[in-house]
Amino acid sequence: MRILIWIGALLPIVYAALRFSVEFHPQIVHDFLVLMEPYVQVTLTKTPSDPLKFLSDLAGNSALWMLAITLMVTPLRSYIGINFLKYRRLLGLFAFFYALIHALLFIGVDQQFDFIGVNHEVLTKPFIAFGMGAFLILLLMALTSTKKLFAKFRSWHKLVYIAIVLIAIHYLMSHKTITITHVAVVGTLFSLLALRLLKR
Amino acid sequence: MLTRQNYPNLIPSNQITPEGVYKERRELMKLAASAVALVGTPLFATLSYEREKVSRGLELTSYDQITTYNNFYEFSTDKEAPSKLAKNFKPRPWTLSVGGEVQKKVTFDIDQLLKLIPAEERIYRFRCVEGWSMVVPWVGIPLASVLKYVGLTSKSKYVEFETLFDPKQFPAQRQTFGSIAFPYREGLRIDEAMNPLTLLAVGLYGKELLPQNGAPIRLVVPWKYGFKSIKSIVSITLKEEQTRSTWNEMAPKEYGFFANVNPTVDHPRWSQARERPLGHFFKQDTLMFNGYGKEVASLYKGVDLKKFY
Repeated sequence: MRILIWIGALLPIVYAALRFSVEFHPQIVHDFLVLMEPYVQVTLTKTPSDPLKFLSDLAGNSALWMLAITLMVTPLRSYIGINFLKYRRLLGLFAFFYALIHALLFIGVDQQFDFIGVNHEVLTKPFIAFGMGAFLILLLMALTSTKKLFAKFRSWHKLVYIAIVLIAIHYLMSHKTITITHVAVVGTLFSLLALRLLKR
Repeated sequence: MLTRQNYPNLIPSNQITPEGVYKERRELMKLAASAVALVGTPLFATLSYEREKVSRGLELTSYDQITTYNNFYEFSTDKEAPSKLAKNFKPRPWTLSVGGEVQKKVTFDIDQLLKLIPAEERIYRFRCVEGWSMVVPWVGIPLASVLKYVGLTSKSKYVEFETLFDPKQFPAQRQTFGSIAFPYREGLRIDEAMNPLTLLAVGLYGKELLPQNGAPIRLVVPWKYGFKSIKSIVSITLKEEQTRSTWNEMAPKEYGFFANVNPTVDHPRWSQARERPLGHFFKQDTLMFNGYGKEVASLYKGVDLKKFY
C-alpha cells in the first residue's frame, strides 16, 4: 500500500519529467505517447510553452488533490470502514511537498527571492494572501507532524479546515473565469469538509 | 497571397537574433514543403526573403509555440486545446462587414480585401494580461487603410469588433454554462484604430493564420493586452458612443476598456511589472505600452492611466 501511495503521489513529477524531455524521447516512446494522448485527455508530446506557469499549476493542483485525498481518510473509516489512518501522515506530507514547490516557485522564481516584493504581493492581493495563508498552515502542520510533536499540537491540526477554505478561494481566483470544472473541484473539497464536520 | 513589405518603424528587423532567422527559415522551408505536398503549388514561394542582422536580442517566439498556446475561449479555456479543437474550423469563404457611422458600408470578401490593400509584415511584441508574452511576425493590413476605404464621418468616434458566432464551429458557444458571453466583442477609440501600429492580421510567419490564432482575420494592437486583439472578426462597426468590450463588461475592475500594457498598474490578482516570455523559465520586465510608447504615448496625454487602465 505504501508503495502504491508513493507511486501515485509521484505521478505529477513523472508527468513534468515527460513534458520537459519531449525533445529527447526515442521514437517508440513518442509514438506510444501519441497513442495515449486521446485517452488521458492531457498533452503529453509537447514541451510546455510557459514552463513556470506549467510547473506552478501542476504543483498547486497536485497539492490540492493530495490534500483532498488526505481528507478522505477519516470519512472512509467512519462511513465505509476502510482504515487508511496509518497512511494519513504520508499523504498529508505529500500535499505539503507540492504546496512547498508551488510556494517556492512563486517566491524563488516569480519574485526571485525579493522578500519585499513577496510581502507587497501578499499585502496588496487577496489572491496571493489566501494562498500564502494556506501554505503557512500546511507548513505548521508538516513541522508538527512527528509523533512527539503531533501529540502536543494535535488541536492545531484543525487549522486544516481553514486551509481548505483558503485553498478553495485561491483556486477559484487563479482562473480568469469560473467553469463547471472549477465548481466541481471546489464542491469536492467542501463535501469532504462537510463529511468530516457532520460525523465526528 | 501574403507578401512581405518592409515596415521601417518599430522593432526593426535588425533586432532579431540570427538564431531566430535560422529557425524561421527552416520553419518556412518546412511550411513551403508541406504546402507543395498538399496542393501541388508552392503557395508561399514569394516569402523566401532575407532578413537583416541582429541587435537588442528580441527573439521571435517559435511558430510551434505561437500556434499551440492560445487563449481562444470560443474553443476552450485551456490554452493547449484550441490547436486541437480548431482543426475543422472553416476560415473560407469569409466576409467582413464594415458599417455603422461610415460613408459607405462595405462587406468585403476576405480575399478581395487582400487584393485591395497589400499585406505587410509587422514584428510585434504581444503581451497577455495573464502575464505571458511572445514576439510574433504578423502579416496583415493596417486597420487605418480599411477605415479610410469605407470613409469616416464626424460621428466615427469608436470602433467595435465582433467575433463570429457559430456554435457549430465553436464548441464553447454551445455550452449552457459558458465561461464568457458570446459573441466576443472588443472596441477601440478612433485615434487608436487609426494609429499606424494597429493591424488586421491575416497571417504569421508568412503563412495564413491558423484557426487557433484567429483565422482568417484578427486585430493586433501591440501596445494593449492581448484580449483586445479580437480573433476571427466578422464585423467592424463605427460608433459615436463608447463601444462594448467583453472582458471589460465581465470584470470592469480587472480589465479596463483601454487595457494598455502598463507595468505600474497591477491586475488585482497578479503583478503586471514583469512577464514570462514563452519558452523561458524566468521573467523579464514589462515595458510601458509594451515598448511602443514612442508611437502611442501621445494618444493618452492628460489621461490618468492608473484610473483608466
